[in-house]
Amino acid sequence: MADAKALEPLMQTAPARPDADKRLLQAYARACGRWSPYVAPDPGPPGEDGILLDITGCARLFGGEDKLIEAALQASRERGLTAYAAIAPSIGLAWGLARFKARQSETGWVRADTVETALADLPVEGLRIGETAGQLRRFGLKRAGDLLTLPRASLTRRFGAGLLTRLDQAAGRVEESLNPLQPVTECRARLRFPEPLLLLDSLKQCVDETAKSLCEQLEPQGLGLRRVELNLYRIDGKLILLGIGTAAPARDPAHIARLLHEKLDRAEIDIGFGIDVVELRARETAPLGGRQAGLLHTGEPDPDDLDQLTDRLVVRLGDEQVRRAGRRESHIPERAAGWRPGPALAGTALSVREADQAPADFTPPDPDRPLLILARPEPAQAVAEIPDGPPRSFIWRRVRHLVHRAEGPERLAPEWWRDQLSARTRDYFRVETREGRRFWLYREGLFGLETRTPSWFVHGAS
Amino acid sequence: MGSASSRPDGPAQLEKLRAKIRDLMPAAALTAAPGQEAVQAASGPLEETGSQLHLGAGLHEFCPQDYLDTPAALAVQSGFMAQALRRAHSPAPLLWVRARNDSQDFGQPYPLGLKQWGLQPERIIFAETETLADALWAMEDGLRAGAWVMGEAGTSSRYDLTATKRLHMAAQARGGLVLVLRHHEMIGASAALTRWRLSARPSPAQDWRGATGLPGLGSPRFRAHLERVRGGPPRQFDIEWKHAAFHVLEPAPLADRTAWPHPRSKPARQRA
Repeated sequence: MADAKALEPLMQTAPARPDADKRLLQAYARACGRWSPYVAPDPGPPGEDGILLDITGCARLFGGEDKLIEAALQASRERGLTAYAAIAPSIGLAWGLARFKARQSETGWVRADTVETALADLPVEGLRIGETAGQLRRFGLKRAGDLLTLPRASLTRRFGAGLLTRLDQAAGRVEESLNPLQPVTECRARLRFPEPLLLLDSLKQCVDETAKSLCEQLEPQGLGLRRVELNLYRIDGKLILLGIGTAAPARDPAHIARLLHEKLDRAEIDIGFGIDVVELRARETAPLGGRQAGLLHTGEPDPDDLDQLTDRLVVRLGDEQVRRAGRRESHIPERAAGWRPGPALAGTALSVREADQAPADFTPPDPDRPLLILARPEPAQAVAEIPDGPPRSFIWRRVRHLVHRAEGPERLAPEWWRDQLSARTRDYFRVETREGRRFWLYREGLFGLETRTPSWFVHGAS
Repeated sequence: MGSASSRPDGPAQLEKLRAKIRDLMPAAALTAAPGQEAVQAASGPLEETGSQLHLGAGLHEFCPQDYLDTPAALAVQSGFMAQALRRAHSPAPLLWVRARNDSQDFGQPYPLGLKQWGLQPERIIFAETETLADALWAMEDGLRAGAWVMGEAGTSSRYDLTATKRLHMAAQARGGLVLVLRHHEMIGASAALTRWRLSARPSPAQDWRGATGLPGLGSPRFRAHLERVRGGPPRQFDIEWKHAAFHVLEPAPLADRTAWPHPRSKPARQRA
């Protein structure tokens, strides 16, 4: 470094940041999704700066492979990246060509029309073999073509099996596939625009269009959408990703579009200089048959309406905020039942009945439970008989209540199989104050056995 | 409005407005949308059958008398909702909307405790929102989708005449109920059919099931003061929750009569 500085005093230095590089590569690979749905960054050991694209069948959309690669290179260069590219029938060959041959061509890209000629001319370094390339060069083997003429057995003996595998991969004799960044989805709809979209309203229109075409694709297959992803490709190479889920398989474009509109409104996305590709992908689908409309209007609400209501609530309020009652096998009241978000959401009262699932059992234990329960029991000062009498009066939140009616105790022991050493037995009392207000109190700790000074807590009301 | 130029066609305009209002009226809306008629709740704002009370389709408000009566008010609200759901034989789910920060003081509804008030927890979609604006949106959206709604208005001033009118119309269009718990001190204008002011009353003692030294709890009782009812005078009821329904108790002097006749004593007027 000191020598280098001596030679070139104006040299700028910056620490290497492999993580940042990887992130950038990942982000840019995502943005390359505009050229092909099968994209993967190439973070493997030989070369961590590549992006692989499977452009099978994509070239037509851009007017041929040449046009596609030129456009892709152009886009990369506009972003200030130095990029070279190659089109080849195999991943290995494309890797080598892009790194060694493309630099020498004036366009910055090459295309292998036949594997044999391209491979014959490829330097051995282009075979993704690392150190082995140096050894090969010492033997005077400079091109991959030189290797092809040698007997395979001796190559394996001298340089290991890795070399032959790489050679075969480059030649297309051994299968090699790329692991796409975004899961493969059969159904997607996309719109491309020559001019970027700048307004949210026009984006929403695109969403309407894509939703319609996506639902049309799904209809003949008898599928409905469970999870949908909206990809917005920003013109400067960023990808904006929005996802929605549905409570039940849905195939109503208006409903899907409405959810996405809501998401677009809420997400406060940064459109930047505009968006030129809008893509809607079906991430998860589920069978959705037609539903027979009732002959008579029984006045029952449409189950679809309710599923859609749940979806709208989830999109607007958030996953965690829309909940259903859940039950757990426990005697400790706060564990026994509560409101839980998640998959149970799919089972509205009606869906449960239709799917014939056993719904959770909400039959309360024999003594009545209060209507409201405090998230955390709150300490109270109570006057009660020792050892286990009901409270005669208690002070909670600085208000004194006189107890005129009481039922209890309902004794709940801590669950010994749970690792709570501090937990103590609770004696629950339902009490009614002089005014008729009802509370649910408990005394923590058995007098004499667990504690000398039992403490009181208010846990619920009414 | 009252300018001289518009006066000649005044009556005609009035007639036009009347027609417009008729179109907007819920009854008309019901017939206009044949696919949407639902089992109606009681007709009129409040219906009394025997000793039972039934709320009419639309918006009703429940107000605790006092801060500490909030759980009691919520209990009455739940009871009325359960009663109406059962009466309408409606399989509609129940959307329970709460705005965070508001009236969470007494905790969350407890699924195992709802049974006591006649509600089925598995039917409830429980939604918690950040703001009251979101809560109002959720309530209205729920009503339009055919759900019945329990809500809480909290202390926000957003719960005003416009908001309540929207809720009321949405509920009436589908023949559903929306019951809203209001804060005990926040009483603003509202388009609700009824507004109840509620406080807990001591329940009858049940000596045989009490804890040591104290009688047990009887059926819960409440004093329900009907502060506002559309097209009727304010009234007061003492109600009791029994057999999953609210029953109106007779005024105490009548109910607790002894066999001994008080000579020339009129039953004391109920306290207002």
